[in-house]
Amino acid sequence: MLPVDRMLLESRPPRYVQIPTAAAQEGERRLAYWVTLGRRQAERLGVEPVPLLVRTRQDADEPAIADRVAGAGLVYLSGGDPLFLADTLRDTLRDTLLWQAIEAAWQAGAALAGCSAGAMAMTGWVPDIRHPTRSGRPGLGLLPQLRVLPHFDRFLGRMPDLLMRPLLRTPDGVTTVGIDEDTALVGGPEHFTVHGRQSAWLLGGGGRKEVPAGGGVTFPLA
Amino acid sequence: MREAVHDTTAPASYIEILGGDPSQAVQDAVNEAQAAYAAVGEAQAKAVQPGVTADAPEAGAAVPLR
Repeated sequence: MLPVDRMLLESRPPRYVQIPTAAAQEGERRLAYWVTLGRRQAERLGVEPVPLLVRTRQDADEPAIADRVAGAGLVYLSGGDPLFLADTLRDTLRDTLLWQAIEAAWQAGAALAGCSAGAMAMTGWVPDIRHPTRSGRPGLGLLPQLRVLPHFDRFLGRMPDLLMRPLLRTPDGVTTVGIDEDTALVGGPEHFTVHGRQSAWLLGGGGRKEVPAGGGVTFPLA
Repeated sequence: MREAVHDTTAPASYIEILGGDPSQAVQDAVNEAQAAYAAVGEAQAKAVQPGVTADAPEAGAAVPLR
């Protein structure tokens, strides 16, 4: 989302690091497509595009690739088309030099963005929305107090809560949040504001609460 | 299950969590997944009718998206 990315880069180095790993298994054409999207976004923002073509864990443990994260103003985990690639992203990045570099850059002041599968993977647990009866798998753990359901308006937003129930079982202190398309939660690690065209949805407790654009929400860390 | 929590004493940095962009590929995945959820819903409805056996997917059953 251009306005949000622009805001995030206003006071940060003009360096846009894009990691399109979530699309890596869809083939070179799709990977190139996502890289092109990232490059165009960087051009619109007037910043340096730095796409890191990380397809495997071996790539993610390559020092020459991990070193390119340094100096980033924004690190962007772009999506893949299928939502189910969140676990691929997690499996490829977890405990690698690249992920260490991303965490280090973030803690040093860079902004971090995750879109769709990238958003799901940043949390502590990735719900398995392909398998209604499965609970999910661990995520990268950057936001352990959150579970994210992207494309919420199109995918789950119209479903009865009864069908979503398996996705909404969470441990104490963990909140499941649905995020509509063209919408983002921005802030962190505990306080976020909704930006964009639609809404975020706080799920659980037998219901859902809409947080429209401009609204704030807090997800306390344990 | 909890994963490692980052150092909250570090300088505050922003996170942007995006719900995604509309695309046909996502729509295809959504359509298939919704069919799977509908099957579970029908099974749940049957399960509450006396004398009708539920035919829900077993726990762990794969529901391919594409």
